[in-house]
Amino acid sequence: MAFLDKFSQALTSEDSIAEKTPSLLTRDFIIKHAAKLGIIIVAAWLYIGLRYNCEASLYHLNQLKEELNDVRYTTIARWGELTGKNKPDIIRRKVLQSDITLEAADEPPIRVK
Amino acid sequence: MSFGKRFAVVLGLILLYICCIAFQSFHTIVSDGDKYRALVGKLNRENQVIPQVRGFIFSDNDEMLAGSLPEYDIYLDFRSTTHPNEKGEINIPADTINKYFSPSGEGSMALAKIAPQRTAAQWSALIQEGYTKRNGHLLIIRALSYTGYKELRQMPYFNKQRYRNGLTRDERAHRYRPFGDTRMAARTIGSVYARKDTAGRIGSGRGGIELAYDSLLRGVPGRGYRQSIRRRMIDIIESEPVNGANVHTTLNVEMQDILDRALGKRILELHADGGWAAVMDVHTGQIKAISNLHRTGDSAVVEDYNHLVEDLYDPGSTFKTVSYMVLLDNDKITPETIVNTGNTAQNPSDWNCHGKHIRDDHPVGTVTADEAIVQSSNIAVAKLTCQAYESNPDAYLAGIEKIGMMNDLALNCDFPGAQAPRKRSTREKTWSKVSLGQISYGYENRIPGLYMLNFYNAIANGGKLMRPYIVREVEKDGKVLYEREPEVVNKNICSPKTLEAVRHALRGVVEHGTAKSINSKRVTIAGKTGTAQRYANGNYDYGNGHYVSFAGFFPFEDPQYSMIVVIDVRPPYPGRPGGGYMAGPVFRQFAEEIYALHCEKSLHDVTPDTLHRRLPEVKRGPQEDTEYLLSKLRLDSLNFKPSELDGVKEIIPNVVGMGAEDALYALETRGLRVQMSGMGRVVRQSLAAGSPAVKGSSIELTLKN
Repeated sequence: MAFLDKFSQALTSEDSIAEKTPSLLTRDFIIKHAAKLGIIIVAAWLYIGLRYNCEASLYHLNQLKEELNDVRYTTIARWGELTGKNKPDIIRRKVLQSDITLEAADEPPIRVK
Repeated sequence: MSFGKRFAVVLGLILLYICCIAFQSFHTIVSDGDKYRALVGKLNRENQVIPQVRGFIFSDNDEMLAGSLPEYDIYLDFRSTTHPNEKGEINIPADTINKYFSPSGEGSMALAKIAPQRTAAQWSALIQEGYTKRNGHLLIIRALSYTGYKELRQMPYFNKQRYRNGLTRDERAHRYRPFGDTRMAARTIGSVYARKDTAGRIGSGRGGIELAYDSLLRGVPGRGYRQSIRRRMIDIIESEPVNGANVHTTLNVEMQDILDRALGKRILELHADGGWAAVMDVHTGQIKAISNLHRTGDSAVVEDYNHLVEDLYDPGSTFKTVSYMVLLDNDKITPETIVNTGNTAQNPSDWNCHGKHIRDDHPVGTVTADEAIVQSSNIAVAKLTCQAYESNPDAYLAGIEKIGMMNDLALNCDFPGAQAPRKRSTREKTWSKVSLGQISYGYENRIPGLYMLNFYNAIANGGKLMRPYIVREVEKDGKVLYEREPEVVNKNICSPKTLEAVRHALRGVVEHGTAKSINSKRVTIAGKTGTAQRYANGNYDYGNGHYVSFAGFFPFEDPQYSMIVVIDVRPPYPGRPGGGYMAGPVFRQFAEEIYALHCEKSLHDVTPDTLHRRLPEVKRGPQEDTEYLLSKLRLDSLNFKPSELDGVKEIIPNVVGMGAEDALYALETRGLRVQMSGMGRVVRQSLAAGSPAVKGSSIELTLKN
């Protein structure tokens, strides 16, 4: 308690440590810069908040990118699959296997105009 | 407690807190520094390469020939079972493995479905063994496709979160070819280094268009780093990757498919070593299909090497057309020039050309120059050439030079590794007295197949030698970066008169010459056969095998496509080797199928018969409308003349053959009362056509289907 008493006296006395040795730890200093300290706290709070938001956005962005890639890759895979299955030789063989009475044209089309 | 004391207490606590932070920071930096630095390195990976997407390669109809997709090697990690997670849990308990990976377990069944190379029981044994050994990197599926991976992730056991099932994957870019890796012009399209080799060429083009246009297809990778956000590793991009441009080729999938099928079938039938063929659009020089097949067994052929552009071969008799053209164009002969080969069926003999015995397989006796080409006589062509140029062979070589077919066309831009023809010169030490004769019928000059095709293409298109090309456009995001226009290398390879004579001879080859077996009733083919002994072990020999070929174009009257087929046959042969019956059927099959699919006839070309009526049957109807319709269809030249009586209102028209509606219109507009019976078209009218139309009188019509 004695230490606390001495310390509080030092902070509050007219003849404070601050006057003898430069220090930020004075009551006057804190009261005088309360607004700035408040701004710093708000800025820190904003920084943390914005950083959190930014990370959340990045996370969301990454998810969207993954979804987009998934759609893109699925499209390419399906497109390729259909392209491969549309190969004329495959169609011809399937027509033969299915016993469909469909024959390839042996005469070219006739252009009327 | 006074304000001062309270203030001191708060300040003291803050200082204590600061001291704690400072102590902890010191402890973290000094004592646990290495550990945390390693962790940071693990969580935030600097200088990550963000992969770009390699450009696509398309056909002439914008069908995908090569694209980029990820593929995966799939592993299972069982080590986590020996190390409890942060909650002290064992991630994959043994009973889970037993449940899913018994021989009839859902996991085993799923694997058997996705990767049928093993049965469910075999998968079960593999997984159980891996689990028992606590294998940390058990490879279960190699090169799984994207759709396969997605399917796997939806199956029992594998649909759990990754750290719950021990599933890990190794992802890499895969060059995806919808038509397969060994067919559909695979060597011309090329491939991509899938894995890192000693030169670090992963993702770079490896042959074909993939290599030729690698700088445009490849794109540029992005840069960034990976950061753990919400317990997930996320790529933070500093520079975006630039995807590659797309290459659009002139290849036509339908033609390529037909060519592959026809050539592959013939190679197997002949038990040949391989064969190559290409099709060119006559007017532009675009390569529409290119096939280089090698037989790998009794029933399989694969694309192995781009022989058509990277191989030189002795063209054999297909070169006789060149000699014939030079002789005609330099007025050394006419098509009617007579040449006596001295070789007849009754008295077979060869021709001694400075010690070289030149033979004909089919004796032709005394023939015209035109017939010498049609019957492909070595003796006749060599005799004509030697008679004309023996004293000045350079003039003959200059004639070939004038055509331009042996000049380097610098095809490397589309075909990496493309060879230029190797042409003989009289200044060479190896030039001999027999060289002129041998060159005239297709030996000594060695040439890539594509150059020979280009020569026949020039004959087909009226004498213009084109520069063959296979890439027509490179674009990125719809913006054209590079576009190729048809390029004429030589406007006139010969005079029109010479060209006409050459074309006549080439048609004769198919009509009644060495390729008469491929004379088609559907499509008119013109071309030349070729049979050349293979040069191997320092000499030409029957036992080395033969290149049998056919080069030509179709349809003869209005050529649309030129084509060459070369087959590398080895003895024993079913008969004497010959381009007509060996390579010709490939040409014919392709020509007939493509003629029906890609060519068209004008109405005026159609011979009227029961199936094809030249003039659509006009059942009269309103004259003005009919005339308007026929003029729009440009059928007015086909002598449609409506009956003169049809326009006269006072005369009863002939309505036989008309439908009910038209007949009713024609008669009622003349004030007649119409009674109809039956259905279909008018087969009888009660009042004769041409008699006066009296208003209010009745007319009976009989209709019948």
